[in-house]
Amino acid sequence: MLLGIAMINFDINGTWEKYSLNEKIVLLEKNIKNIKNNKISFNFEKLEKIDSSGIILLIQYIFELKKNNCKIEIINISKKHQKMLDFYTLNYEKHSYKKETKKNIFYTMTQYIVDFYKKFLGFLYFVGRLNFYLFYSLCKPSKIRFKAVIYHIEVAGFRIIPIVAITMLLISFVTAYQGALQLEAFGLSLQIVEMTTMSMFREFAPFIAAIIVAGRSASSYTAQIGAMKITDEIDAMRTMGFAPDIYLILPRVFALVIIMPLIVFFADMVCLLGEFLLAKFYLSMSFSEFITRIYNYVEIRHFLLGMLKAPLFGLIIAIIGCYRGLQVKGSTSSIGMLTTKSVVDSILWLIVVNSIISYLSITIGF
Amino acid sequence: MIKVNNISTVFNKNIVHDNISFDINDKEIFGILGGSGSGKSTLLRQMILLEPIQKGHINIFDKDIKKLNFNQREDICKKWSVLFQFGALFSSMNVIDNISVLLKEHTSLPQDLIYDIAYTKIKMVGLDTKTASLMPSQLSGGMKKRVALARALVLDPKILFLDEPTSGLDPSSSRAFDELILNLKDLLDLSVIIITHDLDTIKSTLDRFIILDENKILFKGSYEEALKQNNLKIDKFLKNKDIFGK
Repeated sequence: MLLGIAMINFDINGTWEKYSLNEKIVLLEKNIKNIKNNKISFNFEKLEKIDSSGIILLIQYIFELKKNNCKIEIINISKKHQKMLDFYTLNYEKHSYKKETKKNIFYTMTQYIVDFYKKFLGFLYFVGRLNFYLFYSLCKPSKIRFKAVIYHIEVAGFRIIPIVAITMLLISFVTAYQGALQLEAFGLSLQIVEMTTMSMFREFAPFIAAIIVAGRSASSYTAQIGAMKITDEIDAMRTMGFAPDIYLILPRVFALVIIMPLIVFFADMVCLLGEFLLAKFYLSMSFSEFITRIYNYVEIRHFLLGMLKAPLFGLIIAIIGCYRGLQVKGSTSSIGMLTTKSVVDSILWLIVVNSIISYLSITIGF
Repeated sequence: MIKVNNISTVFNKNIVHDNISFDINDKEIFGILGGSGSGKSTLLRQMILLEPIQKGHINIFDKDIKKLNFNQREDICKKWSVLFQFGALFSSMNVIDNISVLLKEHTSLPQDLIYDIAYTKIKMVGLDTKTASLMPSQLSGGMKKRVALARALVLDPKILFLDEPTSGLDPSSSRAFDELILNLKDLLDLSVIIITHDLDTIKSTLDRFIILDENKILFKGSYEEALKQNNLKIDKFLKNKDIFGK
């Protein structure tokens, strides 16, 4: 074979820098790829500039060629480039980067189940510990952080008033309007007042208020506690003997349990206003007529049911928000993930619990 | 290479820098020393365009960095890299992606070459290649720093800014780090700007340094020159005489 004896010269010339390296790759591929049992000399004489990417590209080829039993010769190399070449050859690492292979579906499934079980246990543990600290702080009221409770009541309760007002006003008005239109066919459009009031008091006002609180507070609790977890603040508290449950979680739980009925009461009142606007302008009812109608037909139990649900909703939101916050681990991306989860979870559980209560209350006739 | 002219900075009536000027030469390892709160980090952040320059000018590559347009800004960012104190790795990517992301974004090299470069840089900073698939949250502080250094070196910058590179490393790793920096300076014609407290780094690595004290430059020059000054304040920095509670 003629090729076997001939020596191949390859000139390394010009600049070998990462932004213009692609043309050199084409050259290399054309000239010295897949050559076996040969002698190749790299001539560095006309090299002007080379950076680490260029050197590593060369080393990549040199390794490949050596594997193919080629003899490599490097000529006319400057001292500095020789040094660079030596340094990077020493550190060169050929690695085929593989993405993680897909795991067996049964493996993933069982892992999912085990994970779920572990998380469930973790949640039980969290709730248990919270109960312990709840009774502990009830026995020792000096341990309750009243200032923190007040602060969270302000943040979660008062700043939410405008949005609750607008939402409930519009919802009650629109519901009553739609109902009045439908009932007009039967000549019953006046009845819409007590119908809407009942459904608002029982279901809509507590539930929608709770969803707004969940969107605002569950997410902010998760993000706050999660950020504290990442910066080791929570660990620092533990080492100082401050239980995070007492300082961080219980104030938030207390705050929401206290403030939720008040928010719901406010929402109820705004609903009445919305209905009254509709009654006034569409059904031309006077205020005293409106009030008498509600007084005569809407029993107090509808109002009470909504008010009784409210603290439970507050509890659900606070617990899920704080629990997700404590789950944050490692990186900042987990804060984002768990914040999303906490809002989705709390809304989901609000719906589930609300439906159960709704069903039970109808069966027992409350 | 870098010229800092008459920089003054005030935060809430608190004077941080008062008319500071110094030059950093080409291919030099330059230190910025000073006690905590002496404005070293602010100065560094002003040089790398993260903090606005209130008064004075900083010229890098003979360009006033206050007056860069969008393209010049991008260009200059490709020519320097910064090693932040705690690494500042992207937490959503694993180690190898953290390093190769710069090459993927800024160049059009083939995938396998990019990974070869990234793996070589990992080995270069003294990490095992098994760390490549780990996430930053699984790394220790020292390892994070090494990965961050590998990321900083991946584009062969002309200027390397290091914010306390050896803090949190064990002594032998710190010395290895110093050696690596010296080595790279030779190989790659780097200029290195270091903020440090490490006495050994100051002694063995820095060509020149400034000491910031009370909003002014207390000293400018090399280690030998600093020792000759026989100034009590300078000695405090260089001879570890700072004792808590004294």
